[in-house]
Amino acid sequence: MFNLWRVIGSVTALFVLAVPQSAQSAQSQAQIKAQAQVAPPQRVMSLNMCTDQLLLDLLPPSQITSVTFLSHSSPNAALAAQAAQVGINYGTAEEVLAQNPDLIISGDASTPTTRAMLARTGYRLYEVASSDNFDEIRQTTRELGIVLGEEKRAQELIVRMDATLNELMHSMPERQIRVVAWDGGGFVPGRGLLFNDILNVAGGINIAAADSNDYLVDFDLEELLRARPDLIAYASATLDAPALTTQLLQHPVVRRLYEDRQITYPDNLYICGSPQSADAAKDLRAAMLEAVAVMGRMR
Amino acid sequence: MRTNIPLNASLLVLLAALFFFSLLAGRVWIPPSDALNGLFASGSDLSEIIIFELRLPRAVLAVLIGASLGTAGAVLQGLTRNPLAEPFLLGVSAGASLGAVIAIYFGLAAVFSAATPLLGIAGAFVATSITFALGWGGGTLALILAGAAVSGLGGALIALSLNLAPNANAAYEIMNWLMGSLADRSWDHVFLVLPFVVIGGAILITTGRALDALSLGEAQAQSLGVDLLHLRLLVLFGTATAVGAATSVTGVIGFIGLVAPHLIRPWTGHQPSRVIIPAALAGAVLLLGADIATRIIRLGPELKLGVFTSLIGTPFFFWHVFKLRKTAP
Amino acid sequence: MTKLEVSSLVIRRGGRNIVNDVSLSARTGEFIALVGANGAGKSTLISVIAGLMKPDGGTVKLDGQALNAFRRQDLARLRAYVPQNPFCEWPISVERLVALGLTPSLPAMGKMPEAYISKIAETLDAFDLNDHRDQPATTLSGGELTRAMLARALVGDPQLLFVDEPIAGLDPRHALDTIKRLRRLVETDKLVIASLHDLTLAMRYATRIVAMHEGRVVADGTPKEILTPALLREIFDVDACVSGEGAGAFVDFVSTV
Repeated sequence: MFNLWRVIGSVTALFVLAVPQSAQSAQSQAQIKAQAQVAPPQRVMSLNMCTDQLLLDLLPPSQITSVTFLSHSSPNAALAAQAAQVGINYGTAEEVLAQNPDLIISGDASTPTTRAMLARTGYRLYEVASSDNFDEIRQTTRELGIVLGEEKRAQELIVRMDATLNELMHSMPERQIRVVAWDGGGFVPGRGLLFNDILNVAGGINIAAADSNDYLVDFDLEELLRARPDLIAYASATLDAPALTTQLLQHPVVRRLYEDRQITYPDNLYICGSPQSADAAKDLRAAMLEAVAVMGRMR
Repeated sequence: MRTNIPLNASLLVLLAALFFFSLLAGRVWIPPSDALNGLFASGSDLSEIIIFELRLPRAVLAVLIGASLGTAGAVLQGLTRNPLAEPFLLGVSAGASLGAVIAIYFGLAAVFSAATPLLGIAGAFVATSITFALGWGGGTLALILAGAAVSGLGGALIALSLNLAPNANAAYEIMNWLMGSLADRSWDHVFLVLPFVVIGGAILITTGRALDALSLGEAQAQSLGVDLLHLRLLVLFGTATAVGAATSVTGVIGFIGLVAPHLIRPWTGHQPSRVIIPAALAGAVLLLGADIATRIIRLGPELKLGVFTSLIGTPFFFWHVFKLRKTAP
Repeated sequence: MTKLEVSSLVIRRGGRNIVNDVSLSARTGEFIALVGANGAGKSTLISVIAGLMKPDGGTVKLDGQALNAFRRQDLARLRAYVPQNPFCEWPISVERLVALGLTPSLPAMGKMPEAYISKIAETLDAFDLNDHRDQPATTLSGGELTRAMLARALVGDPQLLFVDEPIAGLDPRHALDTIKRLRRLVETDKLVIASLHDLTLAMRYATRIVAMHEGRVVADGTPKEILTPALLREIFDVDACVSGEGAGAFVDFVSTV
């Protein structure tokens, strides 16, 4: 029987639950780090594509409860293979409750409601800041190593990354290769994004970043022509299915002038900073050099 | 007997001036002498390439599409005797964009480039048919409501299609489709659209005389020899062809078809057949003007055409509302 | 001379016969007043005779040829139709409105021939519309609009004119003026069929009266023969008083039955 008082009671309860609890019930980041010294987490869950990669590099599969579906279905075969060894989640609260991790790792862009909800339900959440350059990658990796109780492993990864970076720095091409990365919709990564750091280490320079300090810069065909980059770089995700961006590729001007001067890069490695970004820089160097060599031969 | 010649001539002069100005305007202004060079030769000089490969096709497209919208608006208003009839408000443009989105994002256009305008036409045809079927005979209100419903449905389906599209970035391109854009278009787009716009426009122009007779209402028009069904089909096909193809390369552009005929009407004695060609020219002028504005007024990323056409259209609506309030009992 | 032959016309709407087995013959040189109560089927009958509506049964023939056998344009040139409460949608000039009557005669392409331009001027003059020539049609008064619509109907010189309630809402002067004009058309060898409620004017000016009652023709003959109190009681359910003759005749409704 429909009971009015029961309904009122439920609605009131919902309101009470929805009110964010005070911060006292959430564990601070410092507390989490301290905890790891004593008892390293055994069941870690990642709710963010970028932290997925870091987690899979730092912890053995047995200690990882799940990573996001994005890694499981990533076009990057290596990442997908790693992810296949652990569980899967879609970033929902039900899964957190069901999988019952002892530590949740997420990016720093989760919504206040998610944070509040996790705090209220007593789960430990560690937020990892996104990295915009290799310095920040080092810092983040180190911190995450502490949180997971895997400082040694984190150090190994950083050392390897630095070795690759050094190698690249000491074998820079004669002149900087001028690149525009065309992400689609006329927007290109401007100064300040990880893409630029990776590109610089690989031996290139992002022309779009030259004029502005914005994160994303509007760059139409006229600008492209004026800037006369050596190469146009496309995020591979942009190209795998048709869209207005791919139509831009077929513009007669682009076809005529940049037919052989295009390279693609796997964008997930450029969005998410991790020690693997150094390898991405190495691959980028190889692709750029090859494209430029073709250009040289054609001239 | 008055003719349209002075009116058409003035509009053509204005159009030519805007056209030339459009070649000069952009983030970087090109001097007029370079612009003239670029018109005739696409050399390796940067300015010439920009003029010939980027700005010239863009201006031509603006003229073609503005003209098709103006023509369709004039004819739709003549047919329905409804001052608010136009491709955008009747849902035609939304249907056309939906067809184009399906063609592009699901790979059909990659196989067969004419798939885009053809599906645009099909979408426009279906949308117009639904609007007319729902709203006919119910007066202004019914027709506009039917158009709003079809437009809303079309917009929602566009958003859905973009979400379902294989390309992960597709959803971010929705603003192009809902607000319209002429950015980075090429001669390929011009040739894709040209035959359909010309055919559709020609069909629409032939309805002029019948629309004049329709001023006296359907019964008298019929008694004067007008085949009403034939007329409606002509308008349907002409509008779907011209606007469907045009919208397939630009996305939805609103209000041009609404405002152009209204601006022209007082100068042509309100006679439906005399409104058609000047409305086409006025539509071209308005759209070219809006496109130039998107390139000159820079507030960060390039503004979409819809921003400026709305700026043209909404004052018009306000004026119409005020007029209605004055004449209402 | 053109003959109009209507045989056994039936029009069904919503399950009942609005026009129920109507037959009549007419020829040019007549002014037929169609009378009857509201809903008797007059407007529908006129629409069908004008060829704007298809009957559910029966035929309409002009000089032996069925209406649907005519080419659209030929029929348009032959007969003109003016509906009840005609209106003009756009504020076009009166001159343009009248010119619309020449639509079926216009050449497929190109400008209007000189001859037509003078025809329009003549017609404007004949209907006393010269003062309103350039005035927007939507600003005309009731009487002026009726004249303009009739001018539009007649500028093309059709043989037949079918007009539904031409004097509805007109003041006495304009009503009289309109009926007189219709009567004059008889002398130029045209056939006019008009539905009328004003029986006095019908009696005075029509050459023939056709009376309808519930979809059927109940009387067909000269005004003197037809307009009797008995018939009027039958078709209008009202007691009437008919008196006078010719120009002095009048029909007066006294009381409901």
